[in-house]
Amino acid sequence: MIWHITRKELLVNLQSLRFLIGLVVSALMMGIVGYVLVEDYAARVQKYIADVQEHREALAQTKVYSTIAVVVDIPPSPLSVFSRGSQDLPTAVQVSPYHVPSLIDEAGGSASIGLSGTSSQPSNPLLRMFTSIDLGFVISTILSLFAVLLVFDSFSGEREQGTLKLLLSSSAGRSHLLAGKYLGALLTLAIPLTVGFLEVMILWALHPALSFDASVWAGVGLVYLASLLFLSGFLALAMFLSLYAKESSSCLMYLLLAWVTVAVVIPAGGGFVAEYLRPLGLRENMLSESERASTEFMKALGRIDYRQIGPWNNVSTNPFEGESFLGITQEEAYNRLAYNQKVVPMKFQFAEDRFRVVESYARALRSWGRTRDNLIRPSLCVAYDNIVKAVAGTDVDSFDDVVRKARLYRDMMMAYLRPRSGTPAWFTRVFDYPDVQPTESNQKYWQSLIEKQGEQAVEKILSWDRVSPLDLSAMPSPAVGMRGAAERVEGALPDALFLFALCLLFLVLSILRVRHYPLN
Amino acid sequence: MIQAIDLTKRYEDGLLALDHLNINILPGQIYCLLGANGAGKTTTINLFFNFIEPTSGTALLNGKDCTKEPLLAKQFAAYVSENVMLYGNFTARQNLDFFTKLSGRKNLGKEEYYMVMRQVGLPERAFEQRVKTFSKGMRQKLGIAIAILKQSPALLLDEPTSGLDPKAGAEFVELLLRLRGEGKAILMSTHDVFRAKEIADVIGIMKEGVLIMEKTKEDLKYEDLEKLYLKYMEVS
Ligand SMILES: Nc1ncnc2c1ncn2[C@@H]1O[C@H](COP(=O)(O)OP(=O)(O)O)[C@@H](O)[C@H]1O
Ligand SMILES: [Mg+2]
Repeated sequence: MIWHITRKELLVNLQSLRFLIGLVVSALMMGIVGYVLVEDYAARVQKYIADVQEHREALAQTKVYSTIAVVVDIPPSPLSVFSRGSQDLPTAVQVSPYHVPSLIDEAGGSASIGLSGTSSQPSNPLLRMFTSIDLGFVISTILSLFAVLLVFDSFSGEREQGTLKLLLSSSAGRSHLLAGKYLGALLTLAIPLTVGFLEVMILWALHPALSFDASVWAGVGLVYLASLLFLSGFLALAMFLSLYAKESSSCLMYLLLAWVTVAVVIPAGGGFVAEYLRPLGLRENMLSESERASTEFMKALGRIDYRQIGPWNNVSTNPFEGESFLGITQEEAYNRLAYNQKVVPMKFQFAEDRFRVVESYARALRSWGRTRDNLIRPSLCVAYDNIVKAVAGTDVDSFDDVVRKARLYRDMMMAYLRPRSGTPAWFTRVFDYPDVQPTESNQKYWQSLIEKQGEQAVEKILSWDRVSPLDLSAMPSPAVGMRGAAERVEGALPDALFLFALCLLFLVLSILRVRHYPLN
Repeated sequence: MIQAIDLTKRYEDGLLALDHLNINILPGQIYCLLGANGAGKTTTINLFFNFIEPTSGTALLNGKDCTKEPLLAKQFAAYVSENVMLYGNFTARQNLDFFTKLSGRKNLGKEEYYMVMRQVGLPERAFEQRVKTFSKGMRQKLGIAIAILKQSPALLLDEPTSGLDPKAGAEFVELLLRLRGEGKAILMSTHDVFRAKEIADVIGIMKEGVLIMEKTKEDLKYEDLEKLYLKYMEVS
């Protein structure tokens, strides 16, 4: 019974002009956005491969342990075609003895190594709230508008056309009619959706630089299901509202109003409202606390006695970072080693302390972000966007996960480095290259070299370039990948359930309402 | 088969459109409900299909309460409206197929649809034509074809012949008589006194929601229905 109505609805829809227009518009939009984002993804993959290579080479050139910095590059998600996610999420996380990665890379005085892909500004993904145009956006705006145009007159149209009574004089009940029409509209909408997905898959398959494994296809399947769920929910809402107006024209007005509210006003307005609710002074607090910690740290350092012995050549020190000494005497190396044995643990401690300050700021912002998310979640579009982001792994949670894994990796790295922090190789290589030591005889020799060949000759001797890199093969390397499929699905689940519940709610309300829908 | 017990409808705006209607139509009977515009004829028929809910009283189809068990009750009756409207982009047969399936009849072949369309007098060329090109008469015929295919024991027709040309009207009457012959209980509202007299077994005259007269064919043999009708319309 319901199926016959569904079939009829489908046929009527397919023969309608609005379907044709909607199909063309959505196919065009999804094709264009899909094309742009597939290209964008391919470019980011290239960049990622180059970055990984560059960072690996840089690490392989490390000359002393204290300057080790592992840059964990985050592979771009192939599903980012569907959801670019929060804009400006860093593409890499840096891990070093003096830097504990946090969700927010702010106040990281020691993070002097420019992370590729990040801007020069400190990255704070928690403050971004408007996402970019991606397939998820097209689906949640264009296809939901399509849904509105499809069902705004599903009852009023039949009433005005005069077929409603004949329909209901059959053995079909009103709720059968509702269900049939609902499913018919859903099947109709599934066509542009499927066409859009096929377009993207073809673009992927045709792209010479891209290839995908089964898990990606499974992800695409999930996004497809999520899109169907979203459209089901939106249709249910539209259906429900359409039962409140007698004339098709006023139905259309109501529904367009609802569409603007759900697709535009709530997502944007919620963000603005949340901006007012943002805890004030958090950032200032964090910065001043971080400042205070630094000052205290510097004071504590000052209390440690240190007297330099002999000249320093080609030395770089910074209390917040690793240090490297090349042109010093053995005596000074031992002197420095003794100093370091007191100071390095303090530096490690300071890194942890500063991390805690930044992290507590991050957590506070995160919980404000959750409030904001909850504020705008009632909009089906937002819930849908959340699902797609979670499945695609482009949400803040996924990035948070990467950072957490990077921290775990740092623990392993520190287990390897801690024993080495008490050795000369932590900061110098003078023992391997006695000719760089500014001993009296060496200095005399350098003087003569300068006279004969100029400054460059000495610079060559005192250059780190001569120094062979450390053998880091025993150091653990990071295994920080994207979250597993199960985790991502788990991340998407709350919003999916919410969407499902909304869909059911609107359907139940529609069924209650249709019983009293006036036929005259 | 078609029964109303103290059936009353007061619309939301307070208008009493139907006031304690009592009728009982047996199988093989044609009951004509006569009345001017606004008398409450459509209201009566709407109540049987649960298009609207009665204020009080009961409408029964084959003993089933049309308000409490509408889905069950509706199975026993087919509906033909004053102006049958169908899906314009579907052909006659597609419309027939859709509504017949909705009434729970399955596995009907093309031939069976054609047969019924012939029976109601639709021209052969129209069978596979889109309904949006149909005249009102053709649509009324298709409407009755839908009703026939439902194979229900009761038939409720709301001014089915209004606006039909005389020939089409006469064909329509033929058809109704044949259906009566098959033992169907038929309720037809009309304001056409002549046609009512021609076919009705029982005639009821309705005025402002009240059934003011009900006479059988026998009662009317020696009376002039038209005069009666006008007389009843005058007094109030
Ligand atoms: N939905 C409605 N709401 C209010 N009044 C109505 C409604 N439908 C019909 N009426 C009124 O009820 C009365 C009976 O109408 P109706 O049953 O359509 O008469 P008929 O079919 O005999 O011409 C009329 O006065 C009409 O204006
Ligand atoms: Mg009427």
